[in-house]
Amino acid sequence: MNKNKCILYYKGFFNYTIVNKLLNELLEQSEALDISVFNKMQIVMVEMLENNYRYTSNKIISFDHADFFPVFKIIDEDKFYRLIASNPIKYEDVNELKEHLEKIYCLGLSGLRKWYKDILKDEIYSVKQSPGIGLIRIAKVVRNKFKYSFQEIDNKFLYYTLEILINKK
Amino acid sequence: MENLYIESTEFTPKINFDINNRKFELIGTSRPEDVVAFYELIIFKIGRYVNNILHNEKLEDFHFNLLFDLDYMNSASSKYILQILDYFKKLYYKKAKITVDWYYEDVYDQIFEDGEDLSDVIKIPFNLRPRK
Repeated sequence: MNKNKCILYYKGFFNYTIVNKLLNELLEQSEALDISVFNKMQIVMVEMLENNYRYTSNKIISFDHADFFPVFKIIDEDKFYRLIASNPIKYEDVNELKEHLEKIYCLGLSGLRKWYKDILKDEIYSVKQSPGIGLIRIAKVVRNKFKYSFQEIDNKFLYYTLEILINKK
Repeated sequence: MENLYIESTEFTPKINFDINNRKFELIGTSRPEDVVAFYELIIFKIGRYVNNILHNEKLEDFHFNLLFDLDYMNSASSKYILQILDYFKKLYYKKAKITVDWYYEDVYDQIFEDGEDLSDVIKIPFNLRPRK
């Protein structure tokens, strides 16, 4: 029986360089992981962190609640790895994100794949840099339900936490 | 038109657009910091090439191979890979022989499923090939 052990931890605002650094840290531990688990973890981690800085990098200019800085961690538990990402998010972004998460939560794998492909079809030539399918991709990969929460920080921000389990087998 | 070759980096793929041998290869990891900047020139060159072929070649005799051998791609990259494929789709629907080889490590890998999904979106059959 494993004791829960944190194998990766970072607190602070994320950017591309930090995500790369964390990926390399994960890679250093990859020998201890099953290859398919490692591949899943890599996909989920990148999509979680890219999603994380999408809501923070250009949108949050000043933020001085140190207790609510973005955090990413991976915890090694008995039967799965628990990936947790938290970040502040503006109130104005919450509804759209919540709707997206709720729809993901309700769909099974075939529904997720159909929705994923429909978005890709619609977004091929959109002006958005990314098609906005990162969370759906995570759900397709892990095939477990997400846990998420929004905690109030002040009248401008909420603290969004997304928790994902990756089965070890 | 000139060939285009871009060496891979830790987080960007190798690109080999070989006009003389009629092949396009995208190999490695696709997670560029600025995905638009990375794929912009590639897509521009492919667009120009495809338009030139559409106007100057007998398409029934034209063949072109696209090879994707990715060990990782982020969701942002999938949009630009689809744009590349969308240009070749114009030739495919005019009876040119366009083959797409999509390599994967394991059928349980996300890359395998990505190949199935992208093929379904773009409506061109992919040869899903296990990496040797």
